[in-house]
Amino acid sequence: MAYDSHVATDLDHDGHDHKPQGWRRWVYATNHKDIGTMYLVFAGISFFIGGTMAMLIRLELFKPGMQFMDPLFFNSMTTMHALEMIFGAVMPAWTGLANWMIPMQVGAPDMALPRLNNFSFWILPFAFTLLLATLFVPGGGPAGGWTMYPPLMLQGGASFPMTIFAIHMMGISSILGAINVVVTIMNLRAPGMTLLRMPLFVWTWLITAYLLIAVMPVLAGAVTMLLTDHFFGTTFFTAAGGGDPVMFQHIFWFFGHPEVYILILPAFGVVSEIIPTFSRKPLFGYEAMVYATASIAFLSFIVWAHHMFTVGMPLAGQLFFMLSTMLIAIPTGVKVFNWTATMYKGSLSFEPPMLFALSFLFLFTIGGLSGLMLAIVPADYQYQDTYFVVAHFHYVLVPGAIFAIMGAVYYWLPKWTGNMYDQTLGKWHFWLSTIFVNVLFFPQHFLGLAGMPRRIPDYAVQFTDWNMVSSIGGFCFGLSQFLFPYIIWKCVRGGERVGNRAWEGAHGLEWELPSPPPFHSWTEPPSDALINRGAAH
Amino acid sequence: MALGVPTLTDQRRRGVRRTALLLGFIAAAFYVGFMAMMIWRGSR
Amino acid sequence: MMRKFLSPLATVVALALSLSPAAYAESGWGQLNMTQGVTAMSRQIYGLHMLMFWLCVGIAAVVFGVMAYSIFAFRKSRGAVADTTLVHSTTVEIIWTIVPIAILVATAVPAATTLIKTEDLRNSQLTIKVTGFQWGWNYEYLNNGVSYFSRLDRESDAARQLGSGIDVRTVPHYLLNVDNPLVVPVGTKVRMLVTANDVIHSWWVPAFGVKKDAIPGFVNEAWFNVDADKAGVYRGNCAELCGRDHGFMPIVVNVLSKDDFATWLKAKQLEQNPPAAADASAPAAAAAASAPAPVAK
Repeated sequence: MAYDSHVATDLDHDGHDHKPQGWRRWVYATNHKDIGTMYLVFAGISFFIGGTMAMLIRLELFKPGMQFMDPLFFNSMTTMHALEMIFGAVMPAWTGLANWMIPMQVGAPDMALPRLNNFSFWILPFAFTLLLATLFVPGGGPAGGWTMYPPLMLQGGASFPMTIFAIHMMGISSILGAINVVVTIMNLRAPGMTLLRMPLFVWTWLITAYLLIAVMPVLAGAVTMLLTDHFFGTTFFTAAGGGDPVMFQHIFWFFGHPEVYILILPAFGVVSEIIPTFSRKPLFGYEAMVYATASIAFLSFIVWAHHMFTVGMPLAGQLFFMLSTMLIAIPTGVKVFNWTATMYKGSLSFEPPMLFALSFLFLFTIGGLSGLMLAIVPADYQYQDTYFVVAHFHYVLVPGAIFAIMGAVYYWLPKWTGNMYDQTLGKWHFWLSTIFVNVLFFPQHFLGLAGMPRRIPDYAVQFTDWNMVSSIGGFCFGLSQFLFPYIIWKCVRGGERVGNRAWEGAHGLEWELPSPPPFHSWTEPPSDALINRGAAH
Repeated sequence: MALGVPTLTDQRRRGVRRTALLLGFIAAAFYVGFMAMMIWRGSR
Repeated sequence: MMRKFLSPLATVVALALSLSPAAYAESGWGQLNMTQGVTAMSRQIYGLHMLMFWLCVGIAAVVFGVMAYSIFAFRKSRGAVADTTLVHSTTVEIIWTIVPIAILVATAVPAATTLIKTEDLRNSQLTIKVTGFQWGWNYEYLNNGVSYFSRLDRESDAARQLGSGIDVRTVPHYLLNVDNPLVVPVGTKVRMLVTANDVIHSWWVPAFGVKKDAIPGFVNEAWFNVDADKAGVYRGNCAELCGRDHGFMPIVVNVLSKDDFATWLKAKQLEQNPPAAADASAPAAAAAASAPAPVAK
């Protein structure tokens, strides 16, 4: 795999000579593209492991009665599915995309801290080995839900400390990754690449990175308190010792709500790149998009208790969190309207990345609207901890975050490999995913409203029909996903060659580099002319 | 020069170091501070 | 009909069977929406829910309409040429910020009004303490000396075991039936004091619009007042993950007329406090003494 460089500099030449080969290339990797690739591959593997757990969940829920597993194993499946998908699939996928794209998009040769980059990736396989190993220890995997509420979580067996250390490792990995992103964006931008000329993917990642640095330590603190409550006799979360179990929920969701935006803000960035490209029209309201992202990030810190309206908060607290939550609809609405306005009077074509972005636009909006319903406290008393909530957050995370990741991969894959992938198969992947994700999750709205609680392995018979539909949708969605690695593998192996600008309407510095780009992206800073051509917003 | 990563200008290198140290300090302060605060709270 | 999960084919057949009109009547296809419930509050919550629902449908219709129009009208394949100057418009941006704010204010008002009512616990006529435990509920009629446990009924419990071989469709109210239901009168403001012994549970009866977390060491309050003409049996579940058998701790409330309730309460009092040994071993007193003193929250 030769990297052809169009800017022949001595540094580039140096890079060729010293590119390590074989396993050393990956274990000692300091190159942003290699590390990005590892992150993406890791995310893909986690996606299928977490997906397998989801399939087991849907299998048990296919019909009422316990068919296949012990309720405790079911609970550990729901817990591990969430941890795998959030920390193992979506977050590493975003970090992988950041690694690949941010240096190219801001005109830098590499990430600012390449060795730290290597370290933050290589923590992850160990963290997840530890987490998955809990399935084989006495007592089974963690079964207290990914939210780890005490006192239930404190009842965990050998899996309990392992889960906590795994979460610590994931947290450290995320913090280091975030520091790297911020340092790269703040220091390695090409001269002339001012903040307000940066592509939105860079902007959303910058804000995401700040969120990560702010809240990951909070999660670490929360789980450490659980650890000391369990092993060292503290009573942070035990009323008998002057503690409060609800305090954990406040701390957890102070991390947890910004975490939700950590998962979705980069998706906003990706969609803001894809829609203009395939509308052949600059993004509508670029500055409004930046400010909306910043507002969402700020608001994410003051809405956490909307996850826990039923714990018995004072009236004033409930009113505050209801109103602050409703406020989030405004910047989010601005974003949706801007994307729509970008398509308006454009010249649209529908390649796979655009299809995934459009699916994001419609289905994320559905998730956002059900979120607005959930903000209404009295109604939330009925929605809380039902399948309505499950439907809501899966709508924002699956056709939201995950479809955006898939769209991003389909968008930049030709850039990464220099080959065009099989677009027909990509469209098949899109249609199957979009149809079955709705078959899978839409009926869960009905189930929740009709009164089915979440996190139960068995249910009353009146919920049978929609659960069957949901399970069938789940199995079909799961099977459709095998197309994704196949398409990528085929594309890496070969395909129709693409030029620098793989898509007709693509703008941005990454499209000024050859496809595939040289090992060190911008060894010489791009010229003003290139930056201007890229920043056509 | 690790594995042929291109050189940065000295000015940029200082910038990288400064930002990285600042953020590292903030993250570490958050991380350690949160734990310390809670050990203090828990030991009462 | 479908005792064993045989193959995808059997699945499809089963699905087709349950679609037949005969099966429809008792099937779950029609279960699409929140219950209106049997209290003024639950109806108010339902009203809020429907208000938000139709509002969201309206917003979705407008937004999706514009999106769909753009997708169909501005296709490159139809020869659309991009208007690359259309990148900013202060007017529309102000409009689509202000209009949502107005909509939100309009919905926040009824939401806040309803919320304030849910928190109004004054003038309750009957107080019942609910204590969640792994995995069931204890109901204690404060001031009446009545206290008992309520767990999943034996028939459901037998059927829900892994490989029980019992078709759960033959079990009446599978997983929604208990041995000793909570009994309350109609037309009475009942105050629930909700707490737990071990881990967090959540006491939820959809028909009353009440869901309150049961937190060990703390007491939460909630209330409901069932309509005078709505005597009957209402069912719910624990709504907070509480361990292995979280899915198997239902709540059943038997709502009686005021007279029937008085009769029931008297009988229960006699049963639990026989006149001869009224002071000997009142279970309620024993339960209260053994439980850790809860802190008011």
